[in-house]
Amino acid sequence: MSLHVRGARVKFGGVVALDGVDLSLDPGQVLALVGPNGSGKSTLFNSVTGFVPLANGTVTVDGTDLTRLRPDQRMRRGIARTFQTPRIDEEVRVLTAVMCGDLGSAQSSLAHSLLGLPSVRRKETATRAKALDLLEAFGLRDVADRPMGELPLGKIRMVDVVRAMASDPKYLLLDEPAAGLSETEQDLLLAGIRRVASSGVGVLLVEHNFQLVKGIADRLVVLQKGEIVAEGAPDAVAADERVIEAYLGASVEDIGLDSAPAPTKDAEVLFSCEEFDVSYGKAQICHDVALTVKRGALTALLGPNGAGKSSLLAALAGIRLDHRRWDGEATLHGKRIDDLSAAARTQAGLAFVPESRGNIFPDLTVAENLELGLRRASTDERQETEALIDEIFPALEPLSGAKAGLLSGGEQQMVAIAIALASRPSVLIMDEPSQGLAPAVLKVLVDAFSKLQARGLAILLAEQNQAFAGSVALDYYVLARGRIVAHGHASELHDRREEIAAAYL
Amino acid sequence: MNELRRQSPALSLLLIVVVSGAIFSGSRSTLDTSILIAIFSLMALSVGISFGQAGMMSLGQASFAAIGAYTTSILTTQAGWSPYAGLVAAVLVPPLIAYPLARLLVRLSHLALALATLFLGEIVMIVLNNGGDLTGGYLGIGGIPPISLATTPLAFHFLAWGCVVVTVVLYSNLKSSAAGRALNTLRQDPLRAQADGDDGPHRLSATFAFSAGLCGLAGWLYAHYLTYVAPESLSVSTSISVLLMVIVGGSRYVLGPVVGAALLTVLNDHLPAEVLGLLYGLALVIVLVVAPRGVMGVAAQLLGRFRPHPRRPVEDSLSDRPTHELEIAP
Repeated sequence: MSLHVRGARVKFGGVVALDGVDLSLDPGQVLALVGPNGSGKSTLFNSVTGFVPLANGTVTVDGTDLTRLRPDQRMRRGIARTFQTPRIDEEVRVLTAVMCGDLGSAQSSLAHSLLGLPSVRRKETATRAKALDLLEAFGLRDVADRPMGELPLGKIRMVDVVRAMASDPKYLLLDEPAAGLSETEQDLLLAGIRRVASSGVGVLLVEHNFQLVKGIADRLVVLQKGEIVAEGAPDAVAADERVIEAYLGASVEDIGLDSAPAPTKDAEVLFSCEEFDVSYGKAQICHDVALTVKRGALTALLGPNGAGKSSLLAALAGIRLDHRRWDGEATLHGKRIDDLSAAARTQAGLAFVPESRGNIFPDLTVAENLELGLRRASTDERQETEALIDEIFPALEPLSGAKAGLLSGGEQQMVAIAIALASRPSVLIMDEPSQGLAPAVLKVLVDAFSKLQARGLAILLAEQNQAFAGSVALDYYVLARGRIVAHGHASELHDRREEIAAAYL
Repeated sequence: MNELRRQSPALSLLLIVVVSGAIFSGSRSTLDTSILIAIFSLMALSVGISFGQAGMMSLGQASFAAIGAYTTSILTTQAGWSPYAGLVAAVLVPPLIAYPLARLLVRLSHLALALATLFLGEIVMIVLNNGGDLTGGYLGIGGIPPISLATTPLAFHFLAWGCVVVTVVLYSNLKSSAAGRALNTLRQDPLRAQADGDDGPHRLSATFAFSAGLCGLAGWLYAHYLTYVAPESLSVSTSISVLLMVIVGGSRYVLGPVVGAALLTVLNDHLPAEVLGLLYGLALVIVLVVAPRGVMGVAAQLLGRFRPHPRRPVEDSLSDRPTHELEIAP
């Protein structure tokens, strides 16, 4: 009597997202699926629930093979799920939303419903009573008549769990249920999950947040690149060197970097922020962040995936996408910039290189891409900037006629940084420039950073790879769950590896 | 008690029908208009269910009505069937076309179904115009026998509106059941409905078939009341008017389609034909911009203002409201 996944293999085009994964979940057990971004957690989740087809392998529930069934058929056989971003109709009342969770068992025919047959009415009364009981049990009875749109995110996620429970599932699959929740809300959610598990339902949890998972899961499965790298009791898994490596990146020696930055004396602070919060709609991602970046220094912002690094950097750069909002002070050269638009911040001397070289136009040539950055510059400034780019990235010169989108990842990263430099910044903010790059390219980047620092540029670098950050940074901040949890000089990074790992895991 | 509250739209409609029947019993032209409104209401209610509740936009409802009307006309005039046997056929034939059509298309975007039903309308038009003796070509079919139960306009008024009231009862039942919640979820988010365990494509297709059957009923009433039917009687432009009625009346409310049908039919009768197109365009723009929930939405809002929702937490709106207003509030 359990949920089994055997030899699950999923391919998207030529990419193998899941490569022969086995998983089993018993009734009453809480199993957490963790792993870095792109490790295949969501793919595995979706292939169990039927939203992604398996290329190979089987999914069985209590001995019944579900592999060929549609999601709604699997749901009617006892697998319920929630969504990472709750899919809600804002106008629907909470009670109605929960009653929707039981559509599977209410597969009454259209004719019966139209005629309002007694059987339909009885079922309706029973569904309503059960939904109210569930809301009561999860402490949501008082919001039963409120529209979904009026609830805070924490309550919406709880309602999503209750909705999934309305069908009396045997197995409940939760997709990052704690994302964006406050600590109080997380506690409520954890209590809810415990209650579900103690009633005999097997719970599978996909979660970024290692800390949260440690507190609730009976068993952990760590995925990396579509394969299971570790499995077992939470404490044992957290101590596993392979898991630490999956989260923090390989150690310095493995990358082959040895340069340590020259310590800068008491240089002037070029850029800082204080009491800085970032949120998306109702979900607050960063809380009360304070950091400073000095002239000629590189400051690393470390943290696991989902800690809020990218959100923080984009907010500091003033980019309002996806309803991103921020609150707090950000100062550049002693002047407040948190009210300025992204363009005005660039004018003021702040340049931003987004994640995955997001500032490149792939269909334009390298020269055209740079031209876009240079269009405001005077002739003198233009010559100066071009000379700087040639000096820092000599490899780009022969590529100036090539389409940026066709370059290698490392070359694209150089173009992305060069575009940012074209606005003649004094502070450069970069989001994971090392992502997916080979060690040889990393060396080029390290050299470029030290040349820029020598010219007095201040650099703020978000990084997952602790070893890489340690080899280039002067000081570091660790961001975990949206808060700065550690801060210090980069030379301590290697010694504090275990301690920082604890903040991550 | 619950039962009564659920059927309050049908009951209020029944009251209006009986009262207006008594008032207008002497006026032939008013009864004519009233019967036309009832026939359009049936088509509009079919759109209310398939579009308002389930989000499936159809531009072929009048074509389903035409199929129903021609089915009963051919069977009664050429095969000698009784109008009551013709009713069964008129209601059953349109769903036979609608179900497979929807089954093929509901997985695609809503636009696909809208376009397919538009093409269906054109195909029906071509078939009716070129059907030879069977359909009577562009002249159509005349001499359709009247319905023995309703030979006077007043009796037909009650028959047609009786059909509307029964439909409203069925619609209210649907709306307050799990099937109604499923349709609403499917309109909003098909993936969500699938995760709730609902077989969306089947449910949507069945609902679309039911709405086509309602149009067949409207076509049956149309044919036997006018005793004459032609290809132009129920064309694509009728489908578009019906859709407009639903949007103007309020597509999400049970009675919205009926209100819209009454409003636009009366305006249609009292305004010169030249300005009608302008009027329709204007009505659509006004509704979409000013009152996207239609007349019923505005009415519900006004009612809500006089009768504050008892369950709404007061603290939400306390701060910026002058205190004396609170004292007046019941």
